[in-house]
Amino acid sequence: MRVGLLLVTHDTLGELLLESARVTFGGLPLSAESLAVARDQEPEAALERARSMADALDEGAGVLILTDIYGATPANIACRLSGPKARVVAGLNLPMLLKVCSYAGLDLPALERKAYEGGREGVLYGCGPDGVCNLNDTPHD
Amino acid sequence: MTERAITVSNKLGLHARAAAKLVQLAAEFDSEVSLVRDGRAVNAKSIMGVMMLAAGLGTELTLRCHGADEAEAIERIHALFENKFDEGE
Repeated sequence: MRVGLLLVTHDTLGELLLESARVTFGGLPLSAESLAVARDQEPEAALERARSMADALDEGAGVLILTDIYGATPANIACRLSGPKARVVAGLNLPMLLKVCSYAGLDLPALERKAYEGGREGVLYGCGPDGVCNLNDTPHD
Repeated sequence: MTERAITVSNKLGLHARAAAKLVQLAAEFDSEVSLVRDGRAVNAKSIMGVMMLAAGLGTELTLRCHGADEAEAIERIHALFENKFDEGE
């Protein structure tokens, strides 16, 4: 029994990220869905939709909910679902999602930590003017 | 511990799909599996670790396996690199 994964994002961002993860791994290693929250959507309706998706994804091991920007409507919806069987991590990016997929067998608290770590690990100063990548967290100049 | 020098030979290098295949294969073994580039070792069972190698075509790496099944691990992982991650080029 694996944790379910729900992405709650601005528009179809989550859907596109899920598709990238699906292509990367040749399929998804856990049950996953994404909820696109549109600008003109009623938040209460989106919340109800998110709740029913989370309930459907929970096969007993809980649901990890990933959302893009903390404080925005999708994240506010995600946080309303937060509880013992639903953990929320904000700042969704592809590194976060790939890390979650690669540790799909973990329990909910451990998977939540992997999501957080993966998201942070993916934010780097890239290649500098000399073409050399800098993998520590200092800027090039 | 067993080590082997490996050169990345597929055109796209250790890009996301290749890294995912590598991580999935490495996870099949009980041994610790790491890849070393320029003295920096990463856990080959961690997709972000492998991605951070940013290893393109021609990059020289050391594959390091340590544990009861290290012999099989090193052969199978080396073969994945040699087969260019089944990408054909």
